[in-house]
Amino acid sequence: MGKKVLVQYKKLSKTYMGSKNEECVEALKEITFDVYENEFVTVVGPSGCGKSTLLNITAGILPYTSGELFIDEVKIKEPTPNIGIVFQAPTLLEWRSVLDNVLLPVEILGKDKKKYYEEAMNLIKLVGLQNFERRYPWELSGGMQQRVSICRSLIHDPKLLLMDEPFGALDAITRDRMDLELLRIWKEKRKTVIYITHSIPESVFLADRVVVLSARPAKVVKIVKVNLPRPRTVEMQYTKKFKDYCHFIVNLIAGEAEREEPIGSGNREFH
Amino acid sequence: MIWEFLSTFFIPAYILPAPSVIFYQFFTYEAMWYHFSYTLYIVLVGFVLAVVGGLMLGILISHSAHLQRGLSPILSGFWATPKSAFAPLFIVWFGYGDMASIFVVFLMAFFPLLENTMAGMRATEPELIALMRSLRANQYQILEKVRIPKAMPYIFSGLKIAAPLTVIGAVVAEFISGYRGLGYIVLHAQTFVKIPLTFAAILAMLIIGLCLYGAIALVERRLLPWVRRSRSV
Repeated sequence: MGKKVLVQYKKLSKTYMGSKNEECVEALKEITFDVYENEFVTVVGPSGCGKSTLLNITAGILPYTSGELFIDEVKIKEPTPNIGIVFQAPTLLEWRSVLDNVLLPVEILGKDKKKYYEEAMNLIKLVGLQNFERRYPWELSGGMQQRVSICRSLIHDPKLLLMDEPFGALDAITRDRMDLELLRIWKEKRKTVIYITHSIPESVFLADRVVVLSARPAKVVKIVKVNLPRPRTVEMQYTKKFKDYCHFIVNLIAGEAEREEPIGSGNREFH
Repeated sequence: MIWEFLSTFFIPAYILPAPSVIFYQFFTYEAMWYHFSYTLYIVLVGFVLAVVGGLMLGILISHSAHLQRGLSPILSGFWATPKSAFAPLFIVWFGYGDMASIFVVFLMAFFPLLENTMAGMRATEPELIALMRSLRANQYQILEKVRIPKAMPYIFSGLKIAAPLTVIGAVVAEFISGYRGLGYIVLHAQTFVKIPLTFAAILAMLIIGLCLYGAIALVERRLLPWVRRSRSV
């Protein structure tokens, strides 16, 4: 298909060294997969399996023990600003307005704020918060704050967007809405997204491919390609095909690997 | 009102004078302003020194986990000890002048400020630090843009705790040194059994304490408007 690879994990491993009498914790074991440009990849796995470790390593703020990581063909050893991150908590700066919060990365990177003003306003409008740019975080709901957080992650035009259960703290209704919003933003901005979640239905709903991780130490169990048409709709979540995907992944995680392909799922890659 | 009534008719003047009497004393005692301003001066100087010292040290110590671990038990020990108990010692060290009193005030305010500053420095969410580091922010950027502002609510809490303590410290020191200030007035009044004067001095202390606290609260409301609203954690 000639798609360009943006992120490459090659046998990436991470072991946390214990201090004194504590044992070493093996968090990631030979993680290997590629992420293509403009792709939306979700990562699912049981709690504590190391998903956040993977994210921190990808962001360049956590060193890995062995293996290789390439982003845009550059070997990653330290933080690269070519990445935007969104966490579960919005972590906005309370004393700054929405606009100033969005512009924070640009300030840190030492760039001229004024040049990014227009882009910031565009992003704010894109997430549906126009007229709120002068407001402060305490005046916004959780969902709105998280949308500001998304703007902040995009202001410096990174190629890769890392999201660690960004909507986990929101109520179910808002979460569903935000998922649709996110897909809309993704389509608009054409970024590559690695999205970590606990929710299997969410992982299937959002993704082009779902990376399923095992329990600690995390290994790639399987990568499931989701052959559902875009744009995704809420209705799709009630189709048999969708449920089959979910069921398949649930079983994978529960440790019962299915051998045959689920009906109608199309291609299914595994590494 | 009730107090006035009770005092005038029931309670003997040597236990609890009427408010009117107290106020009268407060305004007519010639040396009141002199002693009032002296105690105020001691309180303010000691407080400012404690703020500068406490904040700076708090930020510095927070930078190194090593220092934190080492100093923590020592600091806790000092904090638990009543500093005013040291007042006589300080007078031996510093003589009968202002220094002893200022030092007591300083010590009393310093520890809460230090503790709260350190707590505030720990308050920044790890995700935010991760975000900053992913953008290659250096220590000082993180400190200036994120950690210190995040610590402000805690620091102001510390200020509000420290403020009343400064008045206590000043007065106790003045009790011991007995030559100036509102503490001195109380001693003097006791000697001559001028009870209303005692209360007037107490009223003066109240005013200093309240004004200091009020000023801090006012500044907090201006600088940190988000604190009173619901905070997103």
